[in-house]
Amino acid sequence: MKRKLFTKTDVIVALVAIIVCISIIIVRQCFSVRGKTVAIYYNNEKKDEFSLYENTEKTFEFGQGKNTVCVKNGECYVSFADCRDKICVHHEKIKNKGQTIVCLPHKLIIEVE
Amino acid sequence: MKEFSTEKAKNNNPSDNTVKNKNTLKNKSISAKKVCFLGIFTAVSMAFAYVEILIPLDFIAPGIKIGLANILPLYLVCIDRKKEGFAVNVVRIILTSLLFTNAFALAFSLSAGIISLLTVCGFSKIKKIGTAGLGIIGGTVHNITQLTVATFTVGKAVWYYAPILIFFGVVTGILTGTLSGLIAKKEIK
Repeated sequence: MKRKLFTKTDVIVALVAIIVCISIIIVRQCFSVRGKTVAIYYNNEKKDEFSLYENTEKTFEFGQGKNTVCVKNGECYVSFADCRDKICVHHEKIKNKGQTIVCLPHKLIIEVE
Repeated sequence: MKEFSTEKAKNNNPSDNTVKNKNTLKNKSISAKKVCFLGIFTAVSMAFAYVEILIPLDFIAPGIKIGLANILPLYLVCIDRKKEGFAVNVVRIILTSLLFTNAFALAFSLSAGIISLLTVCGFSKIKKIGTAGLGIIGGTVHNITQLTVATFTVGKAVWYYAPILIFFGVVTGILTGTLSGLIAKKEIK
């Protein structure tokens, strides 16, 4: 049974997937709410909480390694971590409710609430 | 990689097709030639999977691959040999995960591979769809399934990467599907 390489149906399938993709991004932007506090979770237990409106800088070490969490100008980010991949340090600054920065090797979750 | 193909051929030796084989009652015997071909396909898919590990695209988002190892199972599905494609895919995933990555990644890859190939098999019944379209469907469903499995381990935060993964599923799907279609155009006896 011969099957063509690229047909009009393929274009429709690709467009549907891309439209789903874009709509997820748009819906996420519309429903994003500015956050109030930043909560720090270690092993899914809430360990600390501070306000997003005050500039703070705090270092956490829960037995796995060090992470330095900074709050500046209403945004939260990780300025230093001694984990191997440093995904948490390279993550973008978070400010909307529900956004998280996760450091998997240190089992640390930073969430905006 | 030659060792892998001879190993596969040894495991599926033609002596299984003796008269004592129960399959002969239903007249469903698997030829040794077919078994050899499937072994070679599995070995080549594993070689592709190994090459993919050398090209890390992890800086875009965790779990982004070019998906070259799916070319051969996709080719088999396009040829209308769905069961063979499914078998090659499952065996390739299990062996690759045991050899090159850890058993943790096996759960991700296996569930994603099975569900994506099942959806591609389902969509292949639509005759108007081309191989690139099947590739797109396979790639996108694969990424979404991986995301769903990751939700159980990491948490809901992982869905942040959903749009990037869907987009790259489309792109790599077009690549994989076109390559499978090009192979399908050449007659293999």
